[in-house]
Amino acid sequence: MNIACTLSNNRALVELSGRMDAVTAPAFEQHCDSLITQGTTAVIADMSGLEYISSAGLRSILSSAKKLRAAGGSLSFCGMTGMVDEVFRVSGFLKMFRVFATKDEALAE
Amino acid sequence: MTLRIPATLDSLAGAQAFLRERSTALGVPELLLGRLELVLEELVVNIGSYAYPDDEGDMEVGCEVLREAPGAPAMLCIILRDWGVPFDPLGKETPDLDADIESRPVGGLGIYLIRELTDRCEYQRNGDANEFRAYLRMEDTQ
Repeated sequence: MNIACTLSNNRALVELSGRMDAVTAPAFEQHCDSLITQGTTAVIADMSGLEYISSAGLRSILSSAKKLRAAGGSLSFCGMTGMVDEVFRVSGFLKMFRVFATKDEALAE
Repeated sequence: MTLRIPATLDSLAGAQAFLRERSTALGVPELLLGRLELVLEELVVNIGSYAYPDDEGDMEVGCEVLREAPGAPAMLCIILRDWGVPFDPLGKETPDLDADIESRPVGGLGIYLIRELTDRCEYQRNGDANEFRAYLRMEDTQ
């Protein structure tokens, strides 16, 4: 999994690509931890380059979301496709989080 | 044709590659490959934790295409076997899907995802082995 992060207006756009599995998923939470340490707590995760996610990915996401909220921020998503969208839907994550169709819509908030 | 691996995360990438290659050779549509790899990953993690709570142990991975009756839809069956203590993954509780971010517990979704993303799952204890089978309809495009 590759993580590319852009900061603007005290908000982070985190673009994830590749595979978020039990081996790679902790890197997302570590990235959010370091954003919180730097004082950025509003995070948009762009999932459009992500081709695979497992329960380990959901674990990393929920854990990060709890920490971001506790720090006064939020975690939202955009660009979900294929099996990533399917896994978000069946796990109830689609209704638990703010999910935008595209990066532009998420950034316009 | 099966692959025998230690039930550890170190084996995951190799086992997923084996499964992808094998199922592509069997004509499995691309769309199902992600679900198939998820079944494998969640079981590797669970077998490693619950069937082999103390030591590392092996598991075997295989898949085949079968029809339950003439004219019935072709099903892809993934078969996972281990020789640990009896462990029925299907005995796990369903998570609370309506909880909000703050109250929802982290984790516990692996087996639930398998059940939701496959058409049917079966577990049986066969001698000294746990056998888990998950079935996916080949032409499923939902």
